[in-house]
Amino acid sequence: MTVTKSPRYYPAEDIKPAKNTYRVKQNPPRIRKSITPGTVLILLAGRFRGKRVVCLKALESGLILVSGPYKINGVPLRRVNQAYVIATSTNVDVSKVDVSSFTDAYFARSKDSSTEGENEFFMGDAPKPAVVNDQRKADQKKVDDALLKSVASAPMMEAYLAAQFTLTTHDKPHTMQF
Amino acid sequence: MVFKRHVEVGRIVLINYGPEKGSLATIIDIVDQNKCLIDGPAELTGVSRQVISYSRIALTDLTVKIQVNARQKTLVAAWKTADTQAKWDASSWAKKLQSKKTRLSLSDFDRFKVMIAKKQKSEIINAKMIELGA
Amino acid sequence: MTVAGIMKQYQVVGRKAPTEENPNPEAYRMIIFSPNAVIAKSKFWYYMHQFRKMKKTTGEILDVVEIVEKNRRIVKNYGIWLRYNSRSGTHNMYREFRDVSLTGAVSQLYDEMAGRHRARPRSIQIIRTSTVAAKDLKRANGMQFAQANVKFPLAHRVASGKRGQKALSGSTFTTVRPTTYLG
Repeated sequence: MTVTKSPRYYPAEDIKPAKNTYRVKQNPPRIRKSITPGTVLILLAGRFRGKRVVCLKALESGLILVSGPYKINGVPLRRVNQAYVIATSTNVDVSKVDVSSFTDAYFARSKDSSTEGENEFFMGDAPKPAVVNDQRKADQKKVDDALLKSVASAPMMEAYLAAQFTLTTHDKPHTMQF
Repeated sequence: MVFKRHVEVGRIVLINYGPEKGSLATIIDIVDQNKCLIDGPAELTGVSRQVISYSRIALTDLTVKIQVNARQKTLVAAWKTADTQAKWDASSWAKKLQSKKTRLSLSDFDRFKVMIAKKQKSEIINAKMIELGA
Repeated sequence: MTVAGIMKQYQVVGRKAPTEENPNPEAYRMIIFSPNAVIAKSKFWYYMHQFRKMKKTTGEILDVVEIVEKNRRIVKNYGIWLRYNSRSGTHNMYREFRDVSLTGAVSQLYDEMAGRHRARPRSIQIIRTSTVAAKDLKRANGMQFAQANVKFPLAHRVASGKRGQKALSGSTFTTVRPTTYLG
């Protein structure tokens, strides 16, 4: 005789026990050790490939905030993926540069509703020139003013940032020190 | 063609293969037609006493005066009296090796500076050449 | 023995397994060169059953010890007596080698027997070894390196393709003649 009573009711179909649900916690991406605020980076992809730029900080998304500075090599305040940069051992002092206002949200694209729709797509008139808003321009100037000062204090640094990175014959990037 | 560098007891050699590549050592005995016994001395060059093949060493112009199977102590003394390390460092061979090493360890910024310096140098030379009417 | 490589020296002691009639059989000691202790024991039984009525199934190994050369710091002359089976018969031989250790000399011997006589390790039996004073050397090659003030140049140095460095024959075409004279 069984000690425990068997239940009176059995469901006609097996009810599958609910699976344990758990959220995967998304850790912020790890930025490699060689990239710190102030490190000179070589961009490897995108329209600014080959440019040497200054790293300002790592953003929450794991992208890196960089600036050319714009005046020296034409690279604006920009987010780049750390996989597409070479970190050099050269550093620029960025302690005077205030980058607290820059977040991923700052760089998010604003949706322009007027350009949507099939009609607009086919019948649209001449493409509008890209307009950089004044807020961005002002922010760029504010950051670059501080940055240019510390760049100017290091000898040859300005020319270095202005120059393109290239490989020539017999250059073996895997054996080179950066 | 006259040979000036010989395999002999007391010859300083440069190791060109293996973990001790680039280090100097002294031949302290000859094993046979393929191998010799060397000792750094370990105290000065970091190469411990070992048998090594001739294909892994390059003979240098330098020698020290020692007996066969010289002990480390006498070897160190012989190096000191012959001033071997200084003589080696002064040789163009050693300088070339050193500059190769320095070139390899340059950072990207350093390479940029070298490039600029090279340009300035050739600018001066070219200006001088024109001045000389060449 | 099927492989050579870097030889080691073992002392193997073995005897017949004790029985009721003979509870304390005679033990035999043998010095054997082999790459490892397993092969050394196998070699012990191979030699033993040629000399005495003994084999592995009716015997036991009492001890296997590797003998390590005490002084590996100086170069010595080693004489090695051996016999080997060639394709046409058995020969006795005496050879001399210079090395810092006996095991090194024996390794050289196996390599040289393979090279000069195509003799495999299994057909080589080492009979006796000894160190030889320079004055007692019998072979010309050992003699020339065992004297005082040996001195010779390294002529015609051809760069062999070592790791990280190109062989002289590495490229099919070249515009510069190679240098083999390095002073």
